[in-house]
Amino acid sequence: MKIYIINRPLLFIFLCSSFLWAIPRYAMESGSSCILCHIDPSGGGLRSDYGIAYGLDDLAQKTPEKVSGYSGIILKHIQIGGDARIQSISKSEGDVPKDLAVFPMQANIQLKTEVGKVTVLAQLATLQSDLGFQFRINEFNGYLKVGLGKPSIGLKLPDHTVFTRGGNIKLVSGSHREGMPFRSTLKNVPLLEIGQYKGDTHYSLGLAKGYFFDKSELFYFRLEHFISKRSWNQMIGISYLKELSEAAGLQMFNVNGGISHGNISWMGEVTVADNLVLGRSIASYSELTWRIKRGWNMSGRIDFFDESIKHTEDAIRRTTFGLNYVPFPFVDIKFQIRSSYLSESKSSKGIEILSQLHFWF
Amino acid sequence: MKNIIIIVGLISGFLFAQKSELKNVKVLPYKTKRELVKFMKSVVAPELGVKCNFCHNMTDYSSDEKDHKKVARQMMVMVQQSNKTMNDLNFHEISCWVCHRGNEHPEHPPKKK
Repeated sequence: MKIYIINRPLLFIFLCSSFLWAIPRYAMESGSSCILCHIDPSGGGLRSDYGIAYGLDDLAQKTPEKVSGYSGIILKHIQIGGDARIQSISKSEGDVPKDLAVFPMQANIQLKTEVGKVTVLAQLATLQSDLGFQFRINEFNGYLKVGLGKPSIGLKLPDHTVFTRGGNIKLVSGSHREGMPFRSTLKNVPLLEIGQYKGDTHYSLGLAKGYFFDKSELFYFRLEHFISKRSWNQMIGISYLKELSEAAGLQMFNVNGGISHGNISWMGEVTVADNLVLGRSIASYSELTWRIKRGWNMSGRIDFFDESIKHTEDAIRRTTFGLNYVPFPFVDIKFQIRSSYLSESKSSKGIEILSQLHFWF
Repeated sequence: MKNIIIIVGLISGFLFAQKSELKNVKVLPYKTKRELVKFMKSVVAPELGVKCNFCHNMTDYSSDEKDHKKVARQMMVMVQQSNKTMNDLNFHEISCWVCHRGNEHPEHPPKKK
């Protein structure tokens, strides 16, 4: 078995692979928007008091007494948090394991403080040397957010064709994109966003500058609604994004949703993009998860991405099965087996085995 | 430029930020946010069949702008007073469940004609 630990092109693909790391399934199962568990209304990153309690009481198999009072507060004024992920991918040809790559995916530090109705949140993605910052005024059961960040649309998965959020081990010939344009290489940009919570509905809209293209402004809108009845939780959402410069012309429309009952939940998403490459692109994602018991989850997922619906040879479909284990608070271990089918070669790329270790605090 | 913004933000946080402690908690006896969240999550929300946004402003949980929160506070006073009596009688303590049974509003018996 050939083992390479750090390979520069590979590193480029993977080190930069942190867009947003929220897990929207948790939001749906809780019947509330991302802000229930995260400081940032767009989700991901530093957890709120509820999010910390959720991690301690609901996610982990065991919660040691020593950490049961953890709050993330330092110096009484500042809350600190962080996320670190290490991932490995091995490929096999037939039944023979071939390559193994181990690499860090994410090492983020976040700080938050509050002054009256103002929340200040800073994030440093150390691997990308990318700073994020938001200054948020909380008023009228909503917010006005300005700072450096990323536009928020859809379920905010890094793209539609990753499983452990690391993309593919090698770019596919003829299909350089393996998902919608929210690639993790894109850095935080100036943005202005407003959002409001009306009962079980949340909407946000904003403007960002220079995210996909330099000097180009984009408008984005996101609406989500949660329905909870007895032990059923449902979510439905739509999003829209448009580059305002005529030269770019990119626009995306997204529909997403999910339903959970007891220990079973399903989430799905479809995104259609115009002028991403040539003409229209489409991506979809569908995941079924079974919570075996506290701390143990099993899931299956199908991702599909077609770079251009005019051409039939540039689509990729991935089928994945995985196990997710949270032995203690702040530690998350994932094992997954993934197969990818390429329409271009009408063949499978073989089996990939992925694992990921995630620490957060 | 980004670095300057972050540094100024952090220094401002240290200098001017309010302490991260429980705010506007007038009735419940808890000392930490963790205790309070656990109580809300495991007792109040399931026993009334509601989510946090029923009573709280999602961007400022300490705000009293929602009437449901004001009513809930009075209800908790009522439960606390009832439990004093229950303790005196050496009975089990009660909670929201006794009346609400998982509903936003307790069910009432049909009116007698």
